[in-house]
Amino acid sequence: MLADAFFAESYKFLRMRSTLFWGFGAAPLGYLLFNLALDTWLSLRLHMPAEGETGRAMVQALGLGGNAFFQIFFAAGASSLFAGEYRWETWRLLTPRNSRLNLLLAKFLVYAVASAATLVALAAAAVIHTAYAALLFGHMPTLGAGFAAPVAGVFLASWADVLVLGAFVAIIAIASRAANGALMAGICFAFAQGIAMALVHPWDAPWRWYAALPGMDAYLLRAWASGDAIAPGIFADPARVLPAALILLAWIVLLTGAALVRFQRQDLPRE
Amino acid sequence: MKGAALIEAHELSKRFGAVVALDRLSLSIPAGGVYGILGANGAGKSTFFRLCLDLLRPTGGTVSLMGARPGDTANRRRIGAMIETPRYHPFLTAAQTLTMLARASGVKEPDIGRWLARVGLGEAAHRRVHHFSVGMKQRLGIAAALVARPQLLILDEPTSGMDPAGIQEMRALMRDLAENHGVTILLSSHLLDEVQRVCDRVAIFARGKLAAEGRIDALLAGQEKLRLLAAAPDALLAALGGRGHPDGDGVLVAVTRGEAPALLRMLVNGGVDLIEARWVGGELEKFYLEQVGHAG
Repeated sequence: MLADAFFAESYKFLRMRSTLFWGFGAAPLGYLLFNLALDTWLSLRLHMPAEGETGRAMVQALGLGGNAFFQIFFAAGASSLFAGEYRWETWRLLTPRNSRLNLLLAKFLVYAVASAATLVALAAAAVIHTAYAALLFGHMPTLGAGFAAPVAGVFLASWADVLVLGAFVAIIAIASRAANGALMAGICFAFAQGIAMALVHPWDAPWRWYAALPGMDAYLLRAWASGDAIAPGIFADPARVLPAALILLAWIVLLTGAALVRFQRQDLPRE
Repeated sequence: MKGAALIEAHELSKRFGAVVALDRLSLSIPAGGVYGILGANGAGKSTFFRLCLDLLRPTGGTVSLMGARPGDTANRRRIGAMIETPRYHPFLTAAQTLTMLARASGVKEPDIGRWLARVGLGEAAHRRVHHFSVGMKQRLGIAAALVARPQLLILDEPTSGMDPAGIQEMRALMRDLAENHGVTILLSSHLLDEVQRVCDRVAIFARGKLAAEGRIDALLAGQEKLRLLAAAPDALLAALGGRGHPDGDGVLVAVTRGEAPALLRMLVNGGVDLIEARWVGGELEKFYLEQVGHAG
């Protein structure tokens, strides 16, 4: 059953300290430490307060899920998770016990939960550092009005963004049977999208660009949810929101499906 | 279930590029007892096991386990396996490894301590597997194969890397599982003496094909002879008539195990002073080497 495979996978995952830290813990921790240091520096040297509204800071922190640099960490976690059984030659222990479909779906679920937890941790880090910054100046931190919907929307868009990345890393890990190959492919995927998005104007890009670049769909959704301008004076067109969400979903489903099909047909002569 | 075919392979083939690992192999393995799969390195034993366990897909032919194809959901929990040198997640302890594998099999409350004690790893339960010796990894592999209480146990070289005491323990464990718990064991080993002691039937693979198959006693029938040593060899030869042939200071007699008591009684009643009677020439090794074409 899938529940058994998920329990086994999460039991194992929670003991992979290196993957837990570098894949899913280092980004929020680094973000928190950097911002605490920045807040302290701003307060001690410049005597100026940092970002005040907690809700706004949470939206900005959650938006880092679409940042190519932060996606390196998600790619590292995904490559370790999906290529681990090839690296340790341990599929022989697992595939006689549960179906391949369940075993791989369990990995996707663990990645989905772990990446969601990382985004939550990023938001929590934003709460901590804004509270710290406010207290440095003797203020109480403020949440800001109507913060819940933007936070939830940006969270979902960033989560979908890192799920696409995870599914891409998964299919490369299965095809190459190598963690390093999957990690490199994931990093290239993240940065190639970042470069392509910098070359295209998201506000007037044709649909084929939105179809080809899932990161651009996530960017549009984040901008729409947060109410931020995507260019000076230009805001996300609400008519583009639903198609962008569907494109992101299609990317997740297609990449996950391709990984499942590839794994179902794969010979495991060594693993 | 005893006597019915547990595993059926029909014209089973597996190629890896130009290499033919299994070549139209047909084999029926009955339920019950310990069944040995023998063959040189590269003969196709591990490939056969991996096909049975859904780790590989056949190039041709079919294989079924308990009437279903490999990977059948209902069958998975009835099969335990240890394939080649066991590999583990290096960051888990022995107890964590078994807990994780038991749960992957759908076993909610595995008796981890009991299985680890059964294979002699009780005191190493909370040590990381990464630090285990090869023999300890083999023991853990057997515990992992048993943790879901399977009806069919597939063990590929289970005693490789074990010390003599460990080999003896594993032999006793296998016989106990087969005789007292109704587990059918499919065993591959290069230790032919070990196989002869523990297995009821064997199949010999040679270059991906089935070279011989059957009960060990039936395969070796006609190969073993009774060697007699008497105080007066001439009197012994005379009493045997044409059935005895001199062999050093003794006499070899071509006789079945069933006929032996009557023959010995006849010789003693005939006044021959027997010093020793023992079976020779019935080693599985000799038969095996003949089958795989390496006999001197």
